[in-house]
Amino acid sequence: MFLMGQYALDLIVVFSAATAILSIYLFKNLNAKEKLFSYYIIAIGFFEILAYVWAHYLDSNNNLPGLHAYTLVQFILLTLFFKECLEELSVNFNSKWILVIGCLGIILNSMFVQSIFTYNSYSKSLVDLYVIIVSLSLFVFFIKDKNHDQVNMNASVSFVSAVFMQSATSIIIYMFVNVIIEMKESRAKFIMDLRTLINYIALFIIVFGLWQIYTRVGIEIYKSNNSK
Amino acid sequence: MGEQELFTLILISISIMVILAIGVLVLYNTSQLRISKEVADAHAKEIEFKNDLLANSIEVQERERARIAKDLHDDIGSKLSIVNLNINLLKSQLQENEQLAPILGQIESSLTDSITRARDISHDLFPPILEKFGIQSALESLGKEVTRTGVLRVHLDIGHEWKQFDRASELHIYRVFQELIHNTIKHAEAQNVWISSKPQADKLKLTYLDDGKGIDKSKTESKGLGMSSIDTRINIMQGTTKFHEDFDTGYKLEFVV
Repeated sequence: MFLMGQYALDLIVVFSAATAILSIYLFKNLNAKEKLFSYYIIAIGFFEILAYVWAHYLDSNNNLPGLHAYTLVQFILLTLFFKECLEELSVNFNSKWILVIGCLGIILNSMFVQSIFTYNSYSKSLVDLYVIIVSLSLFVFFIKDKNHDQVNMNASVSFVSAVFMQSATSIIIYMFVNVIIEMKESRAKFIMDLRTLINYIALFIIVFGLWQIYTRVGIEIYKSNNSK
Repeated sequence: MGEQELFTLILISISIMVILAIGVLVLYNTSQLRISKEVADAHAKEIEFKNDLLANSIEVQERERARIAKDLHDDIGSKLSIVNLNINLLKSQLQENEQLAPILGQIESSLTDSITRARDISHDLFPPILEKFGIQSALESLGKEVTRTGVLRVHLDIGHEWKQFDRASELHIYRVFQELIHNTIKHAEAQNVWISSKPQADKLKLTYLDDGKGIDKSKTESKGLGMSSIDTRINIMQGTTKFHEDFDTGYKLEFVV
C-alpha cells in the first residue's frame, strides 16, 4: 500500500533545493512579484535541507522549531506575493495590517500557546486557510480579468496553484492529524506518502512556472526586437 | 465514523483540492489560449480591414488621377492649345507693332511652358503610353525620363515576353517602380538603378536594385505611406514580396506577380 520508499521521501529535499537553484538562476529575469515568490522557493529549499539535516545529522530528534520559523516566513513572503498579484489585477489588498496581525499571531502562538518543540497546528492551519482563501480569490480574479498581461501572469497562476495545492493538503492533514496518528500504520503512512507526492506535484508546478518565465524571456526578446 | 470512512474522507478531500488546483491551472491556460486566439483573430481582421481600406483608397486615387489627367489633357490642354493658336494669329497680324510684339512673344512662351507642364502633369498622373503600348514600353519610357534628368541612371532588362496582365495590374507595377525610383532619388544617394524581369513558372519575377546606401533595418518595421502602398499594390495583384537590405550594396526588392 505504501506509495513511496524512503529514497523518494529524501529526494524531495534534493528536488526542493534544485528548484531553489533554478529560481536563483532565473532571478534576473523575474519581475518584482516573481522575485518575492522566488524567495519563497528558496525558503522551501532551505527549510527542507534544514529539516533533513536536523533529523539525520543532529542529535536532536525534534526539528519542529524549523516548522515554526517556516510558517512565519511562508506567511510573510506569500502575503507580499499575493499583494503584488492582486495589485496587478487592480484589487486593493491591505497587506500591512494582515502582516502585522498575522506575524504577531504566529509569534505569540509559538511563544505562549504551542511550544516550538510541538506542532504549531493552530498557526499553521490558519496560515494554510489564509493561503487557500487568497488563492481561491486570486483564481477568480485571474479568470475574470481579461485585461492583465497574460504572458507576465502565467507563471504567477502556476505559483498560486502550487501553494494552494500544498496548503489545501496540509490543512486537511492538520485537521485530521489526531485521527491519522490513531490509524493503522499502513493507512497513516499512505496519507503521509500522498502528501509527499502532492508536494512533488506542487514543486513540478512551480518548475513549470519557472519554465514559463524562461520561455517568456524569449517572447520579450522577440517583442523588443520587433518593436524597434 | 469508522477508520475506513475517515481514511476515505481524507483521500477524497485531498483529491478534491488537488483536482481543484490543477483544474484552475488548466482552465486558466485554456482560457488564455482562447483569448490569445481571439486577439490574434481580431488583429488579423484589423490588418485585413486596413489593407482593404488602403486598396480601396489606391483604387479611388487611381480613378481620380485618370480623371484629372484626362481633364488636364482633353480640356485644359486643348483650350490652352487653342489660345496658343490665337496668339500666333494675333502675333502675325501685329508683327509691325514694336510695343505689342515682345509682350505677345512673352505670352506665347509662358503659354507653351504651361501646355508642356499640363501635359507632363497629365502624363505623370496617368501615363498614356501605358494605355497605348503596355507596361514594358511605359517602364522603358519612365527609365529614359529619369535617366534624362541626370539624377539617376536607370538600366532595364525587361526585353523578353511578359505574361499578359490586365490594365489595372500593369498600372500597379508601373506605380511600384515609380515609387521605388522616387524613394531611391529621395533617400538612397544612388547613381544607378537596375530593373529586371524574369519569368517564373506562370508568373513573373520583377527585381529592383539600386547602388545607394540601403535601408536601415531598424526603420523597416515602421513603413511609410509609399512603402505601404507598394505592399498593398503587390498584395492586390496577389503577388509575393521578398526584401533585401544591404548597407554596402544598396536596396533590393524582388516581387513575384
